Amino acid sequence: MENSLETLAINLNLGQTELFKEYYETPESKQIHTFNDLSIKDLKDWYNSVLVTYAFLNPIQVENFQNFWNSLEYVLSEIDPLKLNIKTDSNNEELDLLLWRESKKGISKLSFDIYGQIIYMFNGYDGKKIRGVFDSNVDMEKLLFRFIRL
Amino acid sequence: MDCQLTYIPDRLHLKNKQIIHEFIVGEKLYYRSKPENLTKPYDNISLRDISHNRNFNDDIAYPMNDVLFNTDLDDDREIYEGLEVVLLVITELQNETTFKKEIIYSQNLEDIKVMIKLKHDPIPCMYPHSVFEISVNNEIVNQNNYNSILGKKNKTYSNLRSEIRQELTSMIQNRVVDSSSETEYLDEP
Repeated sequence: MENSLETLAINLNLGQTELFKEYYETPESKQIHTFNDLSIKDLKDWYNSVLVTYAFLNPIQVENFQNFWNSLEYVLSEIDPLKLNIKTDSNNEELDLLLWRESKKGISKLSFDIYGQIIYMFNGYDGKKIRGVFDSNVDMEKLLFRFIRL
Repeated sequence: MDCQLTYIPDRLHLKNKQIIHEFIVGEKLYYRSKPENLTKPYDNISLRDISHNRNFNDDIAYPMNDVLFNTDLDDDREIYEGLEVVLLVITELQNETTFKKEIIYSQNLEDIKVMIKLKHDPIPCMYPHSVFEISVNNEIVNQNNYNSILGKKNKTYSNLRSEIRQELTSMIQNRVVDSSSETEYLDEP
């Protein structure tokens, strides 16, 4: 597992570097160190705030979100978290927790629904649409990678 | 029935005008919504009412703000205040006369077929009124039957609603209506 996470983190760093070239053009060894310290602390706060804000989540949604958070915690020790900019939301008509982020390519979403499903969606600015519906056994590291790389 | 609302301009009255089934590339659609539902990632768009105004490729006769006229006889407001209008442009119809998107959802041995179709749906006080009509197994969804047809509270229908919503959010995000836009489905991440 640790090896796969390391591979994921390396791939992620490469993908991020490609996607956010201009940000990576400046030397950032000092920045990475700062962001790492900050992000690990903030990540726990972020996790807690999500659970408070979306108090309607059922146990299986919380468990799935926690699995996501565990993977994110590792990955954030390897990459610049400011490039992720993950936002949280919910849908008025459903009781889903929605994590989403925007890049130059489009909007990526992960929905944690009340049935225990984790739905990945990508709507590209070029019209491209990607969709995957997974259960709790999904390889969360791979899913995280997909969520972050586009 | 003639339009009874005196504040609606005569040019927008249905009267004896015909339904125009054909849409063409380049035509504009106007969608009225609360500002909070038009913020990214647009997932709060309601599937219960996705009506638009079309403009027949005539910006002068059918300007954008016509869609803000209230046509509900039971509502005293003449104009909807505080709402925003989104402009969508039809960019591709793939030799069809309107936008159609079919979603087939396999459930056990049974398939559920959802169709999203853009239709001109004039009403007495708003000739350009159009809708993205949703049907489930050929039954058209409306305000009255929404809960029993598309709004069912189970995993299958939750997934269907999510997929329909992805289609609509993609349109609003990119401001285009494009029949050629396909969805890539993932079996694994």
